[in-house]
Amino acid sequence: MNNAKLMSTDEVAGLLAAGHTLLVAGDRRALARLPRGSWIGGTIPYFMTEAGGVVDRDNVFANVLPPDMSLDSVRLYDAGGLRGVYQDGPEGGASFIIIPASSAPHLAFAQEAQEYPGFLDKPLVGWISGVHLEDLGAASPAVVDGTTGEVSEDKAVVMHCRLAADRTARLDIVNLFTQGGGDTLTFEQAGFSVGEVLVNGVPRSFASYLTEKGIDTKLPLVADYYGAMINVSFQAVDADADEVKLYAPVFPGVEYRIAAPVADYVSAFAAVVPDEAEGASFACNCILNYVYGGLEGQRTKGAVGPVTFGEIAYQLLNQTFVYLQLA
Amino acid sequence: MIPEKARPEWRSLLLSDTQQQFRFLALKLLMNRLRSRLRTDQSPSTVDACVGELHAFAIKNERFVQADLASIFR
Repeated sequence: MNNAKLMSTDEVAGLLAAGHTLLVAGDRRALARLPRGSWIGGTIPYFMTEAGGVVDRDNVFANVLPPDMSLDSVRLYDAGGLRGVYQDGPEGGASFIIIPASSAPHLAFAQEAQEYPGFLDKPLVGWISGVHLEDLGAASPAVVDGTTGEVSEDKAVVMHCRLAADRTARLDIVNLFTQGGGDTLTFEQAGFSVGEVLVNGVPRSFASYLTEKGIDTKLPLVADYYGAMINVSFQAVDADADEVKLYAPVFPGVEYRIAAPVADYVSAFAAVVPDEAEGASFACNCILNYVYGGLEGQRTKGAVGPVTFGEIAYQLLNQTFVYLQLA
Repeated sequence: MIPEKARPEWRSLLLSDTQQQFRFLALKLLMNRLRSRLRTDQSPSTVDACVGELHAFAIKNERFVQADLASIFR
């Protein structure tokens, strides 16, 4: 991907001065050094680069919008306003979204995006901003509207873009996880926090089930959406509180299974990621894949972008590589 | 060319016990959403509305759904 790379804030300032429109990921202090201009950004210091996975608090990762894509508008959305996100962009265009982790818009989008008016009408791609893992609890994820300089911890930032008339944008995902051969797990209520699970239809404590079965919670829950493997990742299992916390909500009526193990993330990823992902206009991968897959210093077949606290391809995803390409 | 909305395959696609495997991500997500809705309500008006939504989506995304629909509309 030659339109996206890790660069200094001075280089980014130069691109903005030259009239480019950018999507930027970086540490909060690095983003604060950028001038106002045609860009949106989100906080994160982890990146997949051509040289491999890196942690960098000084440089930022910038995607230059391709020539056939142009800025329509930039907006900040609160949780309620996000309901209109699919309808606000131009017809035939695509939109980029960044949401601060654990903010009200994050929770709302995760649970309600599928019911937003115009859901799937146009590609909506992006990520959940985060912090250095050493700063969890001490620093807050944020997003930036570069056109105004506004930094927000409780709003999503969206860049709506137009596309040249002869181009279309296609959004796709690469998920290494598939459903394992274990129990079928269903839930009667939607939520990020779960007390009770139905195991093959029989209700029981989810925390006890995971503990007694010795489930490796680095493996996500996986649902099969007509061939799309959709993950829900585990955040914590609290046996005392009888509660399981998740990084995305489970939904009633959806059948989940614990994922089959992936022996080596890097080689497995290289085997399945399509060549087209290397030329993507935008891509991102999950912090859990970065950490659990040992991606620091490892190349992922030329697939580059920010490493995120959640991925968005129309809806919230976990432990998934997301990419947008123009055709 | 997207098949007409009156074709029975649209309805079968939504109500069949068999889960097709598609290639186009947005179609996969739409099918999941429509099937979720029909899980609790299979009244004629809801089925018609879901068929209409699926058909409109196919027309709008004709370029991307051709391969997926080819195996259904023979």
